[in-house]
Amino acid sequence: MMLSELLGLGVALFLTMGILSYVLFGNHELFRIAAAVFVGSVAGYLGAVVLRSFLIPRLWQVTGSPQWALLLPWALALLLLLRGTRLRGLSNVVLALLVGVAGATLIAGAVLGTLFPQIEATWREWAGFTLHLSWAQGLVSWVLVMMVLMAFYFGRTETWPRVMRWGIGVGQKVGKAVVVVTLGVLFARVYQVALLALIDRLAFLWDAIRTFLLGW
Amino acid sequence: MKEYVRCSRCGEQNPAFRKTCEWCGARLPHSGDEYLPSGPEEEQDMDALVEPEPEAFDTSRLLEDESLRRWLNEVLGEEFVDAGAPSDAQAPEEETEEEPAEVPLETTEPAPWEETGPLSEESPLPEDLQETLATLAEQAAVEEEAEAPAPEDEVPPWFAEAPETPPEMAAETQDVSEPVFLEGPSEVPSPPAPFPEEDAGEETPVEAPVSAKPFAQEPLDLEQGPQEVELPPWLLEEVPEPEAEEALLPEAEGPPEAEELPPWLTSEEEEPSLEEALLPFGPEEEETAAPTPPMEDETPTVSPEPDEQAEVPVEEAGEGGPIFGEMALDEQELASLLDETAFKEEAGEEAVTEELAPGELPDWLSALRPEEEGEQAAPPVAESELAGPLAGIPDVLPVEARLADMVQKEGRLVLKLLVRKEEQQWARWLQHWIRQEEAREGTEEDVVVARPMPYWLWRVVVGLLLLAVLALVLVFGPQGRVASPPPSRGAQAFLAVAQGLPEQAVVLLAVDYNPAWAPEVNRSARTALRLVEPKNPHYLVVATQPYGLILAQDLLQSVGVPPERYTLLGYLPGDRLALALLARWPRAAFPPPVQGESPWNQPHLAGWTGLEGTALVLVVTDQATRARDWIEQLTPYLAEGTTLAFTGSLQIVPVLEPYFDTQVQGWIGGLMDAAALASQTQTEIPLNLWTAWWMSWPLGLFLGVFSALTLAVVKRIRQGEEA
Repeated sequence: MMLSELLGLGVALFLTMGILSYVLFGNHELFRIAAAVFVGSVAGYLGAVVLRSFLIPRLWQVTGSPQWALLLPWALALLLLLRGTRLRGLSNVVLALLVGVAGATLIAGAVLGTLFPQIEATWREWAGFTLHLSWAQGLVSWVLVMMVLMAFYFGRTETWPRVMRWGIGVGQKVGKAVVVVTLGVLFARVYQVALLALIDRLAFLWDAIRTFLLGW
Repeated sequence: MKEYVRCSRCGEQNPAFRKTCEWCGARLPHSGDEYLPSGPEEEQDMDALVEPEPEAFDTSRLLEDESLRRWLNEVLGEEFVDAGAPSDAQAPEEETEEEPAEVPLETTEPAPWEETGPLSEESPLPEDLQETLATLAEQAAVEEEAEAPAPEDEVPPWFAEAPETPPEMAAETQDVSEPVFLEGPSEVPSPPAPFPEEDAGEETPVEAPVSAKPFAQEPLDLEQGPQEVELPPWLLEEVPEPEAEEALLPEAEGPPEAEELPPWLTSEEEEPSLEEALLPFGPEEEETAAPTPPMEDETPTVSPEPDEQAEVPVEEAGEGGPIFGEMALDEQELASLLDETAFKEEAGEEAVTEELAPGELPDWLSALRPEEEGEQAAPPVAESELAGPLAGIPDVLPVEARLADMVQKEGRLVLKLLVRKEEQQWARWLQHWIRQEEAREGTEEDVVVARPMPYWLWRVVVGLLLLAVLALVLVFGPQGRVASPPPSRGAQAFLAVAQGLPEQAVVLLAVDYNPAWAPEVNRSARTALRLVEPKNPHYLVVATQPYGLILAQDLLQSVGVPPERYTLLGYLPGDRLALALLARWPRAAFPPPVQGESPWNQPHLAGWTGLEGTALVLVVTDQATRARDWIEQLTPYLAEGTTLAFTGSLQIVPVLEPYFDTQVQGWIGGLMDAAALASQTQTEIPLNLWTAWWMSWPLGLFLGVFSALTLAVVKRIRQGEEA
């Protein structure tokens, strides 16, 4: 093992021990040092990357090969700097633009990238055109999707017929159960991943200890 | 016109000039209009009566003082005006209509001094003047005594020797700094009226409160000694005090009878109280000294002794007369007064507490008391009163009691107290209970509840247990490669996609993960690259994280991709907006660099306007939401023949499942899929595929689930106990 690798391994061991010691000793000096090193290095690197790969190329794009239309984004960006001044009302224009565009993008992506494709896929499965699921599986999938959608219905049902209200009630209960199970699965996957990270760090520590102390 | 007006509320007599009852504060029936100051002059007169100026006291100028003359006219009658007052002392017609000079003659309820005193007809006018001057001299003397420091428990020599000392001795003991006006009474032409023998030889009671009202305050001639104090007969034969006064002045008029007061109140009377000190200053007490003298001989007089009771009143009187109903104290005075009124001292607290029998509490308070001392009662609820009649009732004591206790403890507040007898008793009663509550804190009555193990300790125990088990398995577990797990359908699909790539295809590699959160992503990504690498593709690297480019370079170099086969397009900030921009106008998303050649000028990217030439979009991510963003923003704009695949953490798989085969063509979800594909393809993958590593994982999962269930059961049981 080269000296640089040993040095890097030692630093990594020190920082890892500092972070994991939070479990036993809480917020102490070693933990704060390790956390400060990580946060500081990430922040510094982030600033360098943004400056080098984003700001400077876009500024060069305007000045190097004059494209005066690109001055508009820069003007909008500069307006954001007026948040702390009396002209902060101008920055609201930029914020409104950002929020509006972000919302439109989110909705468009959800509709075009999830809702419509999922409706189409569900319909195909229910119609038995899929190769992976049987007809019964497609029907169950379709029914569960409908019930989940019912679970997020919060309108008034007093004027509805009794049978429909009963069906909505049952569908909402089943849909909520499906949502709960889904969230449970997601949480279980998160826990699995976190456990893998812990095992990986413990294995790293054991490898480091074997390397430094035991020599094997 | 009446000299006295009886209050319709309390029935007490009040001087006619008062608008409100000096006993209860109620508005008097006559409204006092005829006694209101009719002009600025009379207002000044009233001020002069209230605040006499000792320095300005000069007997020769008294007769010239119109205000004093008018006041004397009101009090003593027309004789004074006729004898010694100038002619202008007679009020104008409009004033005489409101305030006729013959007040004593027309009085329907003659004043006591008119009934018995010789002032009205027999006594000559200079005698009255002499009495008045003696009163003023007394005020000046009291002021001098108040200014001179005197021991608290020691009677001044002149007072102790007063009965035996002739007037000459009293004159010798007079302070040299005594004002000149104190000699004024001796210069009065008419000698003072002889004091009755049965009264002249008696000492003035020390405990008599100082009366602040000039005509109610009895003079004490310091030059001639107490035995020569000349008091008018009307004061010696004072009307008997009303019963209401007795009820209002228990301390000042002597100890109340035991059968009339509860023990907790009688115990207080052993010590000087707040009301004793504040009594002369109360709105109803200041003028009650004259009609209700506490002495046996019913002779209202002033105690020149600066004892504890008279210390503050003397000072107040010396500063210029009493302020009706209002008292201004500095902090030391207030602290001393409150210390004097301490409900019980350290030694006497026990006795007082014992005397506070619960049966003598008010009914409403007794009803609130859940337990008595020594009784078996339910433990009080925490955060509330722990003992006493207020047990279980939080914050029921009014704020004034706390304030009074705070002032008594610190003594740093300067207050203007406007207190009445009932308020003082109420405050003392509350102070008593507050102290009793505080004294009981930390005693045997406190309920000791065994606290269960806190949740943070549970977390520490679970964490240590998990670490210990995992470490033991890693260190002492079996070594060797793990058996290949079966690949998932997503992994199988990804393998198919990788094997179906054309040679030298363009692969868009998007690095969007945090290695600290998911260390398995790095290994699963390497597996995916190794599966794709046989096709010798050209990689376009996009990073949505600042450190994504470094991670991408490390990944590519780890699988042996030479630098000429990948292009770092750069960092793409902006979240899903940036993804939408990348899907539609990738050239706009990545402008040409400042130095070097633009990646878009490379031969295999020439002519690109979008991602139409990309054979595979491989997204490396560890978050399900980020995977969904990529799917939603890119799939609507992907060209035909472009596939979207994912590799990364295990937690993205549930989100990818619904998109499988319609928008997502495959994935490698975590180490499980990576190990399966590595075993299937016989690819040498630098994974920790040794047995101990894999054994610790299911064991950690089991411990996690077990701990979660255990803590849930413990919490449920604890909630049940608390309920």
